[in-house]
Amino acid sequence: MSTMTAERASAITAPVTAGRELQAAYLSPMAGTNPVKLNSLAAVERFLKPTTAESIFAAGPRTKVSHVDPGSLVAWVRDVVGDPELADSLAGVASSGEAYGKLVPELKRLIAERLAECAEVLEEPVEAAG
Amino acid sequence: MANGYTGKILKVDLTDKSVEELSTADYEQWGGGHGMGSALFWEYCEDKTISGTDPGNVVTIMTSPLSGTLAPGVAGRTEITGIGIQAYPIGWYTRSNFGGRFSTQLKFAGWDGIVILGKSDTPVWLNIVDGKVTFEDATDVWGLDTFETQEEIWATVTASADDWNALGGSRDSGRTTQRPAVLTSGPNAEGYGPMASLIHDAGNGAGQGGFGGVFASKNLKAVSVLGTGSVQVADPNALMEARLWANEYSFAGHRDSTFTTVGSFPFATSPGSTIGEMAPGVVSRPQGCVGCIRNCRARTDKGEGNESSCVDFFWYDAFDRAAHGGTTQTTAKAADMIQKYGLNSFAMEALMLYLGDLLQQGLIGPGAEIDSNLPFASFGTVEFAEALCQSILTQTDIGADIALGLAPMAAKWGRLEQDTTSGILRLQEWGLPHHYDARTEVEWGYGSLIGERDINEHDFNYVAYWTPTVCALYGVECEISAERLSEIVAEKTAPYNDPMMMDYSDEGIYSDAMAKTVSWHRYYTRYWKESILYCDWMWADFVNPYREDFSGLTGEGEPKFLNAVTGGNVTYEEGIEIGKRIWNLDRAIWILQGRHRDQEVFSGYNYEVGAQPGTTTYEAPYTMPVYENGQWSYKSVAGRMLDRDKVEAWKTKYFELEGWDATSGWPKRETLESMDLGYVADALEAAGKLGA
Repeated sequence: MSTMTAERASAITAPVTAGRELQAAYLSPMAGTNPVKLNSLAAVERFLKPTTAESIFAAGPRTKVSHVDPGSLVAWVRDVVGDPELADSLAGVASSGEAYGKLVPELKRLIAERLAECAEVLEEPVEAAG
Repeated sequence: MANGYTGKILKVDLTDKSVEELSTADYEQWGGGHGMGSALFWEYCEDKTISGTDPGNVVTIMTSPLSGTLAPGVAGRTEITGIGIQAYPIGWYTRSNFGGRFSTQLKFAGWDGIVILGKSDTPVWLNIVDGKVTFEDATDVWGLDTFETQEEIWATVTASADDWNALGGSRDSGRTTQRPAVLTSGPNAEGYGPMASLIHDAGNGAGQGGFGGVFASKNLKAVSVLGTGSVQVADPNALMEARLWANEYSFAGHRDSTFTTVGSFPFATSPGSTIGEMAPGVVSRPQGCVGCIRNCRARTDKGEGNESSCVDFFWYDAFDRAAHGGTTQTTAKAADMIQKYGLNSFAMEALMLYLGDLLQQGLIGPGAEIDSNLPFASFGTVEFAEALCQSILTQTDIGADIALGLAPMAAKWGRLEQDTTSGILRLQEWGLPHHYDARTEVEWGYGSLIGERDINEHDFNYVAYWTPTVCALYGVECEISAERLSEIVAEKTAPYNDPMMMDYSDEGIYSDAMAKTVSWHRYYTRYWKESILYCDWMWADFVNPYREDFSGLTGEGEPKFLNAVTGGNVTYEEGIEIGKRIWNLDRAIWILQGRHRDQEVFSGYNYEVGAQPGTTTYEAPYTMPVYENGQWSYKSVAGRMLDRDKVEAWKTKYFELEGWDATSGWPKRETLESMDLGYVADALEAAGKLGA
């Protein structure tokens, strides 16, 4: 990837403006699906939860699945966050044809690495604003 | 006679403070719960066109013959019926249901149910201790929250412990270690009735219908009941044998070798709750309703979130996570808030999602189109949740509008039509919150639309949506194939027994078979779940991992427990037929209230917006069984919109299947008479509303 600058890092990690959040959802076995709006890369990283079908079923009705459409994630990172390099990396994962649950660990790792890279340049932890 | 019934129903007239015993035997044909409630409502509500806050409204609180017994996943449920005040534009005759120990205490006190008529001239609470019924002054508790009210009533009732706690004598001579079971509304619930629920203990809520507001309209704060008797079971050995039989198909019978089958299984799911994601780091122990083997709730070391479950947490947890970067104790505190204040958690969840959208669009806040001084900068915090709840309780700020109910609120803001068409206000039908998606899981939507409320009955939901969807998401093959599922469902859905009932394809959702699915579901639930009171979290058991060919307990289990307790011989199929009778009686009540098929239309977003990423009613993925090109498979049906003309054509098929007039949706005389409901046909005819 190209050299990260403080200016780019600041732009990539900033919360997006209202109305441009990434639409995600929590799925639950009893209460239906609830939409969630994620307003920063850090919020997306926190939202993604690597898990398995077995652990979800074992939890019975007391569980939630964090779901974001991988294609929408790629487009949002590219067009809203403004990080085409990360978007390309994510697209490479998303286009693998694997089931969503198997993509999550790698998507999360790529975003976490990008956030760490930004934090290093900014010399401060990256936090989502909400 | 030992048959599970106590033999008496308590009739209470709040207007003249009188009580009367009715004979349960006169209503046993309806089973219990909802069936008895509807029969009693029909009999005692003289004018069924009144509003839910009219003194003439009749509220029933009913048990089942299985209440207070060892039958699993049923003994602790209670059913409430009456004209509700939540649905829009008409508050339909409706129902709600809650768990805990209220029904057991009522049975132990010697009552199969309570029928409440009239309106008190002063605030009262009803005090039932065995056969003694008194009207207590509720002035001092009227403004208290549900927790405070229960503590006050516990103190009052137990202060006279000598009356009922005397030592000595036989099992039923007057001893108990129980506190009274109290069902109460929140503080001053008359001010926010459509949002007001009834709460029992820490987290058992009758949320739907606005029954907290209905209670308040009658100047009734609470009903307290304490019983020292017991339930007489016809055949205790058969009941124990049934329980041991069921144990073979539950987690408890296989603790050393639990199932490895992939899927979600109502009856066989492991017991206990760790409250989990709702309060990280919190230590908890399982807690459940009387007689249950699942104990799906929890009590926690912090004492927060006790007995809450499901949407009690979900109404606020997403906003907690957004505000704090993860779930904090805020979620449990918010759950306690709505229990304590007696607010409908489903309505609060839809409200929060709506407020979030309005906020992001800059439409709400100080000086905005919707002027509000709530602390929106603290959205997702305890501070905001408390401020929002208080605004509703006191009808201040936007709480004055929310208190009217969500649809009237949006109408007052001039946004109802546009926001239920775009879907940012997710009211799916009758002004009630979207739960499962009518566009994809159509049996849920159709059942709610043809009925009067969000059905909130997960019989098909576990097996047709949740299991295949999670399997698809995580790349795991469902061990129960779509074809096998269709066979199992066909086996257990008498009288239709049609495997095509599980076809959720684009064609299947408008088919004759889907009409059967909806019809069967309404019959099954009206009797076995709403009247006999089998819990929605354990029944129907279509698929069971411990059974040969995965065929669950449903069909065999329901009558096994019932007949052991009653000594009767009601078959599963006869139960479905009784459910059909109850469904038709309810339909007749709605018709008298003004129902016509032309009103039975979903909100605009169901026809205009697909549930794609980026939409408020985002419901992707949604994988369900479909039959296409001569083959069964599981397939994503997410993003689907309903076709208005096809929905209307489906309604016609459904009404014809039910024997109702297809042009109006009104039941026909021959249909009602075939179920010994000729007197109902007479009433419809007199009102000019009998199907042609």
